[in-house]
Amino acid sequence: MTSVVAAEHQPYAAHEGLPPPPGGWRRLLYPGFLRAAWMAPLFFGIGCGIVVLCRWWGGWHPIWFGEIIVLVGALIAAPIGFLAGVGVFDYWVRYAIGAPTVPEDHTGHGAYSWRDYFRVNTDHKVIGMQYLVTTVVFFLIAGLLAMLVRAELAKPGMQFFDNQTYNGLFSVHASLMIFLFVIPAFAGLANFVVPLMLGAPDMAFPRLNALSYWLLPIAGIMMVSSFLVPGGAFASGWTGYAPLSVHQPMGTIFFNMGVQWAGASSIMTALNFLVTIITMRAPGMTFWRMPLLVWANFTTSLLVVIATPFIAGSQFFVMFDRVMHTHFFDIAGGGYPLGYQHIFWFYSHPAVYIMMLPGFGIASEVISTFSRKPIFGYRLMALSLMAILVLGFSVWAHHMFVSGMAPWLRVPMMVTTLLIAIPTGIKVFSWLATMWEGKIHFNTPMLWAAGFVSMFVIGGLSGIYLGAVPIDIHVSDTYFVVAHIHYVLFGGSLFTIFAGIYYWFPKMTGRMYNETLGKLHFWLTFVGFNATFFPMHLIGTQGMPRRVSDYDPMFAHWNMFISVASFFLGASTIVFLYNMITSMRRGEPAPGNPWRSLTLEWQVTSPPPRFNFDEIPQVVGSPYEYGVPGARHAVLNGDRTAEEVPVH
Amino acid sequence: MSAHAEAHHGPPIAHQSSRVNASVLGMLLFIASEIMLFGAFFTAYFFVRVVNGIPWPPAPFELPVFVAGINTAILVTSSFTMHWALQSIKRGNRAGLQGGLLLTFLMGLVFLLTQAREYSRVGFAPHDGAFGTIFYCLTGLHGAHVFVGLSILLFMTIRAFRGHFSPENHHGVEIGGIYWHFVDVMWIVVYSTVYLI
Repeated sequence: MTSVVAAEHQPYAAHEGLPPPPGGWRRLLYPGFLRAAWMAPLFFGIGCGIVVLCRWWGGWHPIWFGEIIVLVGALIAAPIGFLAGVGVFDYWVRYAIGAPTVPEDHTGHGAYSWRDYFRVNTDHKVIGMQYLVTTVVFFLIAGLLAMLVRAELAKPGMQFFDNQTYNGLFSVHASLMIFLFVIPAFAGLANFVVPLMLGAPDMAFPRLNALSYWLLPIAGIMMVSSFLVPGGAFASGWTGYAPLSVHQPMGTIFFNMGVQWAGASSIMTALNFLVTIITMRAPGMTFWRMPLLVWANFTTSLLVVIATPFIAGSQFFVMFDRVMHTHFFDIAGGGYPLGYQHIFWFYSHPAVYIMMLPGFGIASEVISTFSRKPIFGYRLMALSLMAILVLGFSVWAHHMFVSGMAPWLRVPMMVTTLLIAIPTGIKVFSWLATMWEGKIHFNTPMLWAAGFVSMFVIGGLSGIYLGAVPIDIHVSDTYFVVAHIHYVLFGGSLFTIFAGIYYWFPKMTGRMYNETLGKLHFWLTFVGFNATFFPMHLIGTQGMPRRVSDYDPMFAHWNMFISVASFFLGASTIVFLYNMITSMRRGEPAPGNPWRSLTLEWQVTSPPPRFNFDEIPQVVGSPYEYGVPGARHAVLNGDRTAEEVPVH
Repeated sequence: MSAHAEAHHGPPIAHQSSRVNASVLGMLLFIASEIMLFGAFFTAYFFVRVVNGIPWPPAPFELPVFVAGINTAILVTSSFTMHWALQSIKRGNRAGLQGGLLLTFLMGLVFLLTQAREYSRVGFAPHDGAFGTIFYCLTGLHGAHVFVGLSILLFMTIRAFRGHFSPENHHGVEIGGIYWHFVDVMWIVVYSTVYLI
């Protein structure tokens, strides 16, 4: 029987990967960048046509109106044309009209050369890498914008940019870091790791997974290219408060639409994670045996699915107020300006946890593995994630203590905000207790994780200050807030992203990174980070305002110090890039399980086989039983045992 | 089994760890997300109507409650024909599937066209104060969902007439149907809050 089947499927085994594209003009119809190159302009034209027709039919003048043409043609229709061109929709279109769909021979799955990373690929491992590389590119762009901001702030007075340009710089910096780096970088890591950890061959909806990746470069390019339009980039901060953002130059709609595309991408990914985690766990993988990274992505995905539509709504309202002259936020017309902040923060406060919970998961994996001890209080760790999820929806108005909202809202919001410190504190103490008396190996991932715990505690403490109404009123819109957000998002999210990248680098690339350079990168970043952001607490309490390009000369010395430190911090990224690029090409080949970890992704080869597992593994125990004699997480391929765990 | 899997280089069959079908669960989660999008629009409605307390509808304007009520009845009926279509294919009755889907599609289309007609005759525009804004944006958001639902229905109908779906394989109808029911229920909420209350 076996031989017959093998012969039948010989053609697929003979060539690996997609068949070569057809020659001649037919190549223009083959999914890829070539087809996207003519479909995007075609759709742009269709978008323009629809606008002109509607305006002509409705009798609105002028019929050719620049801003709406840009909005509909360039920011909505052209991206859809691009997506159709690269081939994201091919299968669905054939399915929808009932045409015979291409039989799934899995040739579009997996990567055999670098070209396979530049086409629509349904393999979660390839998509994970696509996510990570794309997000690192946007991380570098956003970092360079931060350097420009610091260059302007090095001395009091105006040196390089005018006010509007400066406002654009920090707005695009923040938007890229949040929507194009932190959120999708976590999604990328999880994309690679979660199906492996669950013992699943792929995500639940591989084609949806591909679509959610391809939305990302669209959103990023949209935000970056807003610098090129008349009036400059969107300049009302990443929060884009209305009614200010309604009356900004055209760049604002690039932000509005960029957020929609990035938001759609994260909703699709989150939905995919939830379905994968619920329906595709390996036999024996009960919820209470899932690694904490999976738990973290489960809660994060719930947050994304429930909260993200609110930011979509808020950006729609701003856009409608601009282009359709509606009155959502216009007092004269009966609108309610404060509504923007309520709706925006109802997403954007949970978004803070969207940007942090996956990091908690990564830290749990790394700390347990490198301390060679079971995670302390596993169930409480999972439950505290759920507690953060629930409480996260009840604190949004603590961003609005000085906004003039109803005063009675202040105290309840303050109480729930301070309550969130409890589940977060549980997690911090669990990590400390896990490390306590462990046999700690300070490899690079562990350094980042330990650095994360210490820096996150500082950020968490300043968060408690800010949650208290009286202190918040004093330091609102000062550098104290800037310091706080960077301690939680840089010291928190970014440190855990780096921990994750170093931790799974051997698994993703099949090669080891350079440990010395990794440690050097950590220490340079750690020192540069603290030198940059710690002094901001001091000048913030003295009243240095955020989001202003000029300031009182009394802050001149500290600002010069911060700017120099930030350039040092920026330069430390070069070490990271050098390490990644050289190790990816010439690093030592990695063994399957260099960290002697118990979770499933380490029980397969590095990089993992094309379909992750030859046979779905059987899970038999907890994923963190380090140092427990005879403990096993899973049984693979019948009798082969999981990597032996040395008893210390 | 494993020899077979290796031979054709396909993935191992994933373990099904839940009784819920993955696509149904995906659609339900998507609808949860959609409800929150409507939630954002209803929050704006709340701010304008409750917090600001503007008159509803403000003096010269009137809402066509009766016509919209007829329209509501049409949309609600289409939910039943959708259910009929699904039950038919579950029993292997292809004509029932085709008829049910076609009727559902036509009723949805009538709803959307009536809505468009209402827009052109209602006497105010989105820029006529916060009332017009909220009216057009809530009904328009719902109209966009009807449009998406109609597209899904169109594809299901095409597939039904080309001989797809069977008593064993009707998830395509079931999942599109869930979305259509969601669109209907959402309209009842929109109609009650915007027109009736």
